[in-house]
Amino acid sequence: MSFGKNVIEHATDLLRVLPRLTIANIGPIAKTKKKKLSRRGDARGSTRGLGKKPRTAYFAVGSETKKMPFFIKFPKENYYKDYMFKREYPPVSLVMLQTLIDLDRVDISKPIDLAAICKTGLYSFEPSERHFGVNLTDEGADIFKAKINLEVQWASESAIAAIERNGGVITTAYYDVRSLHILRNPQKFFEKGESIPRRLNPPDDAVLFYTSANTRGYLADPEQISWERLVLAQKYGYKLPKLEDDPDYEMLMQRKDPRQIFYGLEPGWVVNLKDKIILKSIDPTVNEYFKS
Amino acid sequence: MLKILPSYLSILRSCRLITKPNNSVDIIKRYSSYLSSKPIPKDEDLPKYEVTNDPKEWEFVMRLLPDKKIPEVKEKKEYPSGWKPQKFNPNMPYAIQRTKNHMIPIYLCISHNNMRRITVIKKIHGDIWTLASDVRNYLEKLNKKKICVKIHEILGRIEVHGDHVSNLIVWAEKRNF
Repeated sequence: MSFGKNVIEHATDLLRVLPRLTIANIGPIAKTKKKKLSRRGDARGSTRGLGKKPRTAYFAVGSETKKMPFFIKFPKENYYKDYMFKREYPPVSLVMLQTLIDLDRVDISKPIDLAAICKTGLYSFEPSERHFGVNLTDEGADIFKAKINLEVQWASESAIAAIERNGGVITTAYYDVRSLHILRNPQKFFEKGESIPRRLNPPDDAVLFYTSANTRGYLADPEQISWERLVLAQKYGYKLPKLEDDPDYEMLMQRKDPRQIFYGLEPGWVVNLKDKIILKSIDPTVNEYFKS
Repeated sequence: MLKILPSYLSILRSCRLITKPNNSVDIIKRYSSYLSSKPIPKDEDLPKYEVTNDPKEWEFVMRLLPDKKIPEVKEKKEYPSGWKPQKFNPNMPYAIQRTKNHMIPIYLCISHNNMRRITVIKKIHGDIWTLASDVRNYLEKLNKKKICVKIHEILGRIEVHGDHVSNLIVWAEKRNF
């Protein structure tokens, strides 16, 4: 056996770098602790806090008389598997959206996104509790009459049809947790003086939803989306209004970049609310990081 | 290069390690001490930036900031959501004021494990006693049974026993409240 260094040299080299001996590092020597013997009555009493009750008066849990118990019949129930890690989307119905428009809480002349809905103060969600934005539901699809450019995080098929019937446009977009915190209260973020971060890409299990034209995903091919708009119009039986002839064509065509959080503001910029100034970096390495 | 003995592995885990491409190990300095922390770079070394003052870009910022006041509703031909604007009638002995969100203040209070349901009408002005009798007569005709009403004259508020929210909102909208 031949070492490059002596064993003692290795040990002294290590000792120089290792943390010093403190009370936190010291522990008891192995196999010196005695096992505590339990005396009579230490390991719970006879009734275990339940009182004097005749146990035989009740059936065992899960037993159905003269039947196969359900937990043997159906050995696995995976309905709620990983329920604590799944994404949630608190709903906004089309009736609620229509009342917001009727009461002038939301401006139709500009594109509506999550920040515009949160601005009203009538919708709240908690990103720390795995809430990932708006789920547009179809309640009140028949009464809905507004031409809007809407961006939500989840939408049902009939809700998409209700908006496109009135000449509007809808996209479903994903936001990561940090950008959701920013969208919920942009003023609080600007006051911090931080640069606007770039939006992250969707996780593996959400990629299919946000890239398919069926659900109007923001990463889908725009030519496929225009085809799917026609398909949905024939399925629900309404005449699809032409976007090209619309006077608000420019507003309806406004979309965010996949790396963008706000309309018109690019990632990497710093907004100064006090002096009404926007700071942009000229440094090529910084610009390449924020480039989409 | 540094070979790690297995007995030291458990101690080394508390330190931060980095493996280099040639499989040698570096033990990083801990930056918890103020002496060992990195100095702040000078302004000349920081990335450069330009200051812009474009009003077109500033519009996008103003769009995100919340209104300080809830806006008043503009007059429209129709309201598809079913909402109706309030109209003041001086001949009526009583009136119900709208909330700050322009809605009728009729609510349902549930208590006692969903067993007790009480509808509350708030922000009542004028003769509260005639309003209470009108509400009682209207609901007794609909439900064909006796209905209890509790009146707070000072608060301007009425509590009706049972769930009558949707009926009372229809009743209030007929009177343009």
